[in-house]
Amino acid sequence: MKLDKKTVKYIANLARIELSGEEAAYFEPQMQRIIEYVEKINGLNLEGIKPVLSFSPNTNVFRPDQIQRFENTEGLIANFPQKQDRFVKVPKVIE
Amino acid sequence: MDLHKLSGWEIAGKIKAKKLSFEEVFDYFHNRIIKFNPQLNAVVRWFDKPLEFNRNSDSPLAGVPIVIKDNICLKGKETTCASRILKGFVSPYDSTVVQKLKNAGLQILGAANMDEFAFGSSCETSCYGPVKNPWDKTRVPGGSSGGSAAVVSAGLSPVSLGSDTGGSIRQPASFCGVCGLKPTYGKVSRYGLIAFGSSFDQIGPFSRDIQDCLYLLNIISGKDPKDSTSVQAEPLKNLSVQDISGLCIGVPKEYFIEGLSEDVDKTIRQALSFFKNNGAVIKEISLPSTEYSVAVYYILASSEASSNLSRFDGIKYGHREKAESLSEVYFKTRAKGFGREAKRRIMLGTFSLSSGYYEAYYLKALKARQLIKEDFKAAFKKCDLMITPTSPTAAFKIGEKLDNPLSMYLSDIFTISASLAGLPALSVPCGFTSQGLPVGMQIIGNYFQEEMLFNLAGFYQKNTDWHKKIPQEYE
Amino acid sequence: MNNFEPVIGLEVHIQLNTETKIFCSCPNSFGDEPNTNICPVCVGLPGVLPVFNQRVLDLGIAVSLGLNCRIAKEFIFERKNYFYPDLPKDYQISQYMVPLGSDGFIEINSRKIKIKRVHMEEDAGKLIHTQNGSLVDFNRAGVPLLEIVSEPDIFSAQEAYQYLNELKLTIQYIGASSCDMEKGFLRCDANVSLRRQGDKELGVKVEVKNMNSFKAVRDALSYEIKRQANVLSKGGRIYQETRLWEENKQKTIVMRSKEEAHDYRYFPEPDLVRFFVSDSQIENAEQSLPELPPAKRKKFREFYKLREKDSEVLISNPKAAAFFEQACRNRDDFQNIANWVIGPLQEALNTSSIGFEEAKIKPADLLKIIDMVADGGLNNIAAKNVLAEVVNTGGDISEIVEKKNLRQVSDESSLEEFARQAIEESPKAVKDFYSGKENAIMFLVGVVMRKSKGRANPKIVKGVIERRLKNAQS
Repeated sequence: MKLDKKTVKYIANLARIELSGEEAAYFEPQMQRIIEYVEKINGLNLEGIKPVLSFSPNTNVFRPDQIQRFENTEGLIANFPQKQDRFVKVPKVIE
Repeated sequence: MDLHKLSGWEIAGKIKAKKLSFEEVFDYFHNRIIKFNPQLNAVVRWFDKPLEFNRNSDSPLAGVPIVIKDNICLKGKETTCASRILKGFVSPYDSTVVQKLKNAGLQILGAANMDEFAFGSSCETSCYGPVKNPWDKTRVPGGSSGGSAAVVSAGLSPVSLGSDTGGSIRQPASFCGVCGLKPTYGKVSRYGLIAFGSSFDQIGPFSRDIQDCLYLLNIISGKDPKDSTSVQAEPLKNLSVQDISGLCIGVPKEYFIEGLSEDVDKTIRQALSFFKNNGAVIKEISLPSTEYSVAVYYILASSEASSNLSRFDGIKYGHREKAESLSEVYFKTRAKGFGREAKRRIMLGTFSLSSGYYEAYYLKALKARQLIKEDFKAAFKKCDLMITPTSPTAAFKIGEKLDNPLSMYLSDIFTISASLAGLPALSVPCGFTSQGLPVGMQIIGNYFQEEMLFNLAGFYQKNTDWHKKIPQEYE
Repeated sequence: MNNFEPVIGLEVHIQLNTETKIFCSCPNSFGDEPNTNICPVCVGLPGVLPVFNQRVLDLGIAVSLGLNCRIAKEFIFERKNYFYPDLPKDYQISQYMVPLGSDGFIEINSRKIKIKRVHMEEDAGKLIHTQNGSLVDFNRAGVPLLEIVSEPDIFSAQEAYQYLNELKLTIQYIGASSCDMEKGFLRCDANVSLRRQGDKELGVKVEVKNMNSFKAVRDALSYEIKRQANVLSKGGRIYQETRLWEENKQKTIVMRSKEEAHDYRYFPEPDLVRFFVSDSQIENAEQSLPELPPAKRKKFREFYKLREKDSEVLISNPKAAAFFEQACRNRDDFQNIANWVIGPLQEALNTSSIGFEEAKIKPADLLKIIDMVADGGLNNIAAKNVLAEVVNTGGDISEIVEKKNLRQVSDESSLEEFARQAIEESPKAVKDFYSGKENAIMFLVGVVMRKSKGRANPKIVKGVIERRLKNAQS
């Protein structure tokens, strides 16, 4: 497919990455070539093949419903880039 | 004493025999890092004293220093994946492998440089700057675990840990002339490994001596209640290197193609002849879907990566860009925090998963992955293991492929298939190019057949000395 | 307006009352200090992995079965990708392609309302909005949720209200969640569209959010149905949008429309494995399901033979129903016991603002009170007095009666003096009595009751007073 500017913008927006016009111009042809390359897979006959939905050979792996507290919650809070008391603080969320 | 010429288990033996103390060993390698790292940039963080470790361990590597890749979480230390976006993040927990290393008495020296978020095959995308190849400092060490490979190659640490998603252990091992193993998917817990492609990622060991690789694998592997995808397996027995007669080595014809450098081709064929002369059966086999593997891999691994890297948003940890609004926190933090390769992969993955493209890209690739698995399944009915070149070329020049991502991606062409299938694969040094650059051969085994890989590599190392070569400057 | 038929679908989230979160071992607990029940997994730290809580599957299967769903024999989890500050990994682990339960129903008014799917997922954290920013608390992040989605198979606001009540009741009987809406343990969004009577195709649907009670859901839907009918009957069109219910103004308003359409990029969660549910597991779960409301109603009607209204009052409170049924063991005065549970006992609980679950009273205690009243040891006022105490403290009923000196006084000789005083102090009532107003005697009985601090047996008192007055007259 031809990757147009609109799609690049849409993708960057979904991924929450700000792209300047200059960067968009840099990435667009590269992305175009990569996407053209990966389209190689269209050469495979995939009829009747089941997708690999879970790669792990394991099945039914559970954890018992027993409380085990993490001993270093303060270490988690210490990483918050901005905080108020024990909360993470962010600019106001507008619904 | 030249401790850097000894293997890890030899050093552990001297400690056990009280010929060396933990401290002497730590200081020796610590000092080598201080001395040599400025020219290599292989280590991004090193510690003045080892992180707390079990001094009473009876493991065969007790007391051995180790460097771990900067994407493996270390409690109380910065862990950044060589990305600006994680600058300042201090992990409040230890990854499972780090706990196991500490229990086994290994002394953690520091964290190795890498491609940002393990995206790359050259270690040029690190926010700390590129790593240099100890064999030629104008060349890349390979990637993404280039720092981990370079430290072992230059003798800054006897062993190290890296991670492999599409070749990130094997390719730098081959570029730096050391051994590097990507274990079977599930063999080593991923808890605490900062995820790139969750259905591919495996942590694995680097060493010069293959015995060290085996010991290290035994230490870090096993089922982990914190990783649903980890698998219990018996610890590997010690190497048995007496005899390889009758062993059937498959050589996939699709790997000896245009683009394979003559030097590499010649070196691999020499190794194959060696095995043949010692009684192994060399058999041409076919992995027909090989030419599609890079495409399948880049769709799947990037898709998983795009989701795995969403959490780096400036909200909970790491770097947050100054912002007026919430939306700016996301857009600016991620624009400034991620490098170009990370952005490319995130965008490629986001694209493959997005509505309207999912069926044509992601879902197709999931099906193609099944085909690739079946290729190997069929091939392993005809041989015990496979030998291929690890990489089509020896180490390339710094900057050579940086702005040509596709050509960079294609340098992983020989390592990606085993990753797609989840198979164990080991790169072992097997010679040099005419320019004096190391070449590695890749030995691919069936699921959980690491022991067979090690035995073959052990037999090879017993009878050759490629693995003992050290770049002159670091002798 | 009658030309339009509303079509409603409900999306309900319930928090499961497990000990721990769905993918980590942190406590699943409400109301704690912010960011205390957290760990690297539920804060989405780099490198962490989820591990599935067995209990969530057990409860998920039980609820699915209780809602008459088919259980998936094999399922996986998937990632739903979107950025939000309360979503630590910026994706939610959920189920998309194959839900745990599907094709179920709830029966209301003898009609089966179809349930499309029941799936398991993780909750997000909690956002608190302040003047100069928003604050995030991750205690709730990773709490297990079931999402229960009905088909667009509900045709009035009242029916939606009944559906919700029945759903809640079913889940409460199973014990999977308290469904306390005030605490957010149950949340409900509604989709509503209108179509012309007789049309097969659905109209444009509007999503309504922000309802904090079942009544609010009913009110919001009533409002929205009227609003849409109004627009349509004037020839206007309905836009697909999300509207918020404003409780204070009793109306819905348009939520600021999102800049982008949702593109959640669902894909299989590679950090979790495939899960298989065996037939025997389903059979076992079916067998261990408690009696659910439909069966209970039948039993209350046919076995206990309760008045339908009383039966419904009891069944609507699983704890009350259980209390009642326990009390009925080895008894046959079912309606009488029901009257006591619904009446005086419920009153005593209300006065103390506690529910059955916190009450200290045991079924045997209530039976003892009932029997004491029946054989004259306790009058109704004193019985209420005892209930008021025993619901809070528990304890031996006889002891409480003795301690509070509440045993009914039925012995005539002890009441003679009170009766004499009452007659002496109430000349007007006495005069009324003699002038033929029989009721005046009840005033005098009341005086005696007061003087005896409620203990006198009113029947005996009445006899004593009557005799005295008649004797005095003759």
